[in-house]
Amino acid sequence: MEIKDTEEEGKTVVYLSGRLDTKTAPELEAHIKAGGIGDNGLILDLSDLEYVSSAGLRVILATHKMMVNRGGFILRNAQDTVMEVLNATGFADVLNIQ
Amino acid sequence: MDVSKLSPMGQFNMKLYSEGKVAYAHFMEMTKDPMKYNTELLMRILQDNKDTEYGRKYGFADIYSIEEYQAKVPITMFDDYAGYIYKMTEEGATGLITSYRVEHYAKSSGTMGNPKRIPVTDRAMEVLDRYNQQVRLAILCDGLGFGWIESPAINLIEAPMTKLKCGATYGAISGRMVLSLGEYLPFFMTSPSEALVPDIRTNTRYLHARFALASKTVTMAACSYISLILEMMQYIERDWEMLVYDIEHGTIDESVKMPPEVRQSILGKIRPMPERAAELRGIFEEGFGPTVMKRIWPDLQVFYGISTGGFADYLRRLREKYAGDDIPAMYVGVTASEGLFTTPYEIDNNQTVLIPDSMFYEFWPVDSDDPADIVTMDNLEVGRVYEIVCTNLSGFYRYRMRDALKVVGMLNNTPLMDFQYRIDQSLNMTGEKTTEVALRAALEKMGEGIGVEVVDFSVYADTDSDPMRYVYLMELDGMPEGLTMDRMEEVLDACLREANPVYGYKVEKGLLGRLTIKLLQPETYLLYRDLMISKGAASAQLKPPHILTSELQKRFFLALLEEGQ
Repeated sequence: MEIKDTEEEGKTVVYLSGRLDTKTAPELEAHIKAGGIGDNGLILDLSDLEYVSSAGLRVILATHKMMVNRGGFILRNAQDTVMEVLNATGFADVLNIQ
Repeated sequence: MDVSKLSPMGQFNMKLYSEGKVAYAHFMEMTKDPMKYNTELLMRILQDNKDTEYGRKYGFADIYSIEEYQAKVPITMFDDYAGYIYKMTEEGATGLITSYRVEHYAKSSGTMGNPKRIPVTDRAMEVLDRYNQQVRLAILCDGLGFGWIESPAINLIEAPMTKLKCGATYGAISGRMVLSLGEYLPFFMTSPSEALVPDIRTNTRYLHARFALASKTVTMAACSYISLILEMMQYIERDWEMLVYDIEHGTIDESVKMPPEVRQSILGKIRPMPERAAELRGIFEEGFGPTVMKRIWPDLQVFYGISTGGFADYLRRLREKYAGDDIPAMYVGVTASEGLFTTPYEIDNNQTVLIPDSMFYEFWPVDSDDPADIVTMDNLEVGRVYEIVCTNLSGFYRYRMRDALKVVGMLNNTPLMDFQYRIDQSLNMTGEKTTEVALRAALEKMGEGIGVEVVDFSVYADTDSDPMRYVYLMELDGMPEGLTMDRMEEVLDACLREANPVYGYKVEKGLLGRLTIKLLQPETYLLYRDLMISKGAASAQLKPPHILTSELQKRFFLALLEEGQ
């Protein structure tokens, strides 16, 4: 999995590509914990993410909780296969998905 | 012992112990003639409630025997009370189903739908306190001595409460019981109040683990379900570096979710503990394993929480992975929002006894549809499984609990009962009635037979396949080399036929197809739990869904299958 950060209107944008699974979820968790994410919100761009597993969803959920008081959290550009998982697991009811 | 020299907590515990000894002696006396006490209780409930709307409707004033009661008062379900409870909670109405003061409404787990509001009166709370605090403490002291009574416990019970329009509190009954400790609470538990009555945005898993680790003198680990202690240990194993860093520096890692005001409040309660942190780091660097809990908490003497039925396997895994076999368990007995059915009578014994003065009991054999087969406790058969029909202290009369309990023996003349399953939660496509007990027993036997360690499982009825069949969804802790899915299905099917011969018969006849297995991704059950908590479920009430009854649950798990399944 590849992780790249940029910034958009003061918000941190994290681009994920590849697979977010048991092996790579700790990388994303560490990346987010490592800092650099301000208090103006976080966008996780999933346009190049091919697959997300339970472990990956747990990191996304934890990130969502962490960002509640730090400017919010948005998931965007999920591919159909990833979107299907987000819908079926009920994440679409909990997260802000664009 | 000079009680005056004890800490406030020690003095409080000794007071409970003294009361508990008396209550325990009375309880043991009741077990010699339980029907006498149970009948007296029924007559008292009827007399006290004869002027309620429900009591007048069914003529409680003119009932003088169990036979008259059974003839005049119908068997009920929750819907029979829903209208009354609405008026009680929304309009503050009284005198409808109970003359006692309703102190609290218990939030049922809502596994099967929306959570219900179950009234709990002051009389029912009295019984809960007597058995869950006083008697329990007497049993603990008799089993462990008094060395533990001044030390705090790891307490994973959370008590999020709201107030209803009528002014009563609303939340899990386990939380209400913990809160009844009042001013003594901070002495009893390692976790801060922010974890006991948590804001939904607070990561209580971190708070429980961090404060527990910081306290070396812990003697008890208490929870609603024993699975929560296993989960805490798994969390510690995964995140110990962050936890130890925070203990060392008196900080809270930025990634830990909590509102700013909670963070501020917690920061005011902690200080750097470099020595304890160094000790913990040494322990964790040495590795986890079955001695780790004793190395972290050398004085840990007992686990306290629901550890029977579906939770027995979590206790086994907790001991296998983190605790070893030397820490006994204090079992909790069969309890529900509607009241307390059984109590343990000694430490580390998973057999629990029916409580004659908690509620009036009737028992309906689960293999019968005929109300004429309903019996009282003096006519129970050892080895048979019954649904409890209770008349409680909170306004429910001849109420079907939908819980199946097995009579496993007798203490004096009182039945020892073991929870078996929720009656509404069995699989029944062709009359085979496969219970959670059978599903779990088959899985455990398969695991032993072919060396598979199952983290957790769920089963649903696949009615789209032809013939219909069961689908086991399971998360494994690794797959033994060379084992094929076909072999696993073959063994599991054989084990299930043994656990429920009627299932085997239906498969033989071709009415059901052979079961199938689908593997779930690692961490799926942790994700389920995290998600439910983030949607507002009380963590103390969350149980792994072993039988999937809703399409939403099914969609969730089927979206998280291992690739290629």
